[in-house]
Amino acid sequence: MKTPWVFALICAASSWGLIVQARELTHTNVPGVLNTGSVSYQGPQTTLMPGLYIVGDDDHKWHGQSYLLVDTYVNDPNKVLAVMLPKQVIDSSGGVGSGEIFLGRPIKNGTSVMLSPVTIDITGSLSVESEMETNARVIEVSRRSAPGNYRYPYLLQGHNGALGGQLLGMRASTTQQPRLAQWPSNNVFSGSGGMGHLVVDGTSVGVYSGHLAESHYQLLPLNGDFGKFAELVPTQLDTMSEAMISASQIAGLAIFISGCFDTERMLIASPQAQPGEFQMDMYSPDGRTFSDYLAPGSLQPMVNQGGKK
Amino acid sequence: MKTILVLTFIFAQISLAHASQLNVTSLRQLDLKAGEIEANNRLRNSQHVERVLAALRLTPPPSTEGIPQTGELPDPGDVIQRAYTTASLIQKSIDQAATLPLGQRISFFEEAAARIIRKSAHQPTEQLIRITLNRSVDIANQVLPIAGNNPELIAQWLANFYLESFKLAAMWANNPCLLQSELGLASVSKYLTHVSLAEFGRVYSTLLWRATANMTSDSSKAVMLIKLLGYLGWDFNLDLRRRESGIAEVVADVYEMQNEDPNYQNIVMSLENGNEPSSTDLALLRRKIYTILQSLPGRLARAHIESGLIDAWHQ
Repeated sequence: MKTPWVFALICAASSWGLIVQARELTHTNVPGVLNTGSVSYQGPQTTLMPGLYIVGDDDHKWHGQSYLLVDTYVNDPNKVLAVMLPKQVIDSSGGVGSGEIFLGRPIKNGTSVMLSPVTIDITGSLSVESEMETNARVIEVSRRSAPGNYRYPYLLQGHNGALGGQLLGMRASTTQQPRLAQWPSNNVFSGSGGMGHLVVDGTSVGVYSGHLAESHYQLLPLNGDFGKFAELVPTQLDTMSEAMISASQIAGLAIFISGCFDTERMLIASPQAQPGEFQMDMYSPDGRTFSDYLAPGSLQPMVNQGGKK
Repeated sequence: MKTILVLTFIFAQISLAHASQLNVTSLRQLDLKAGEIEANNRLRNSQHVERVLAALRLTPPPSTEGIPQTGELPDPGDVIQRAYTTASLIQKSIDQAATLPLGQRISFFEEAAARIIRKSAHQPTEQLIRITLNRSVDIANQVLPIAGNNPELIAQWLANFYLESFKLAAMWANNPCLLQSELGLASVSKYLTHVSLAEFGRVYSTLLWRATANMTSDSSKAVMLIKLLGYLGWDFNLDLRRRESGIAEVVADVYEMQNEDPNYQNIVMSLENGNEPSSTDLALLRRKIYTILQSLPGRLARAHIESGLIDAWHQ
């Protein structure tokens, strides 16, 4: 008796959609859930080849505000050593400005390069800031998505206060590739950075400022035999043992730059009060008196060989 | 007869072999003690020098007053033994190293550490000096062969690392204290400062941590980080207060990293296979160790371990 009523009720309910068809379980992508937050970086790989780059703040302007000189790091071919200099240091002889030295390494699956400042730490050795701090002031370099459309195809972003809140662009320089070296071919350099004359003799640098106290430094290659950066450690001539005796603490860094300027120049980087910042002093060969009398690579005077070389 | 000859020959060979090990030049010296052998060698050296100089002399002086004569002076052995204290030996090593080229300082510091540790022997108030120097030599020897392709920078960095280690040892020498640890309580004196092994471990780890952010290879940094963790775990596990929650947490953290952390395992495997570790593993391991190091002051405070002496050492 009841069956036809029940049957009619079911037909009505199903026609109204009140009885829902059973659906299959929704299967979660478990690996997707567990990997959430680990960002998978997509995009073109960013690599910095050794050479000279120009850093600018306006894509409409050809002339940039700083230079970035890049060299490969001797202990890891994926990393680079770089120095950032204001334009006035390079473009005018005897230029002075504030710059930084960086160790760059790939991050985000190689889509960016992280330039971490290299500082002189409390003990007097070089220290990579990103390895000592979780919030180091680093610069992230990445390629823009359509690099051919921009004057500056690289983008520079500062983290934790680097670059002073600016967003900058970068392009490879069109000038001749600079030849960097930690050993010069000239002997005497002069500049207006307050250090007077510099004499480079083999592996030592003598500073003669016209004041009573002169000072000497030993050049230690920082990046291997073919690297382009050198450390400067204070050294003194021990007259009794007839040898130059050096400290084990670094006083600064030196780079010899040629190939993109009219003459070879010597860059001295001296640490400032702010960790990671260096005062950059550029020295040009002294063409006035002394270097004319000196043969390259030695301090043998040539006066008795017939005058200027 | 033949047997006697053979036995005599054998005995002579053994004696001569034994003699060469002791730097003995005559069979008579086999009967002497080591100190006496050394004294005899000094005597023979000075006699040799005297003979050489005498051969150059034109005429002898009018008398022998003031002219050292071999055999007249008492043996200076015991004077030499007591001439330097451990603290003055450390200072002498630092001063002497500063007169050497950078690369030569490394082997000099290593030999100086061995001399200082021998001199210190088992003096309880100098235990921290011995541990500091032992560890720094251990680190340097493990890291140098794989430190990288920039030898000049490595020489400067390692010479500086040794200098900092010796300065830390000098601080311990200038502040004699007793180490509190499970290694065994020395004669407890209320007039001496007591330093807990955990606090020492924290101080040494700051020295080592600073050295890991240098310009050497990734493998050398990885080795230093692994050893830093090992030393820290050993120090905290042997501290007298090892069951206090703060100390026990550090032991647990280190144990977990050494046995379960994938980055740590990957790095060890890379080193085992003679490869550089991956940048990712190294960066993550460094970050985890940094977290542990940052937590140490708070954990030590919870375990009521004070850090009075350590303010003298720059952090």
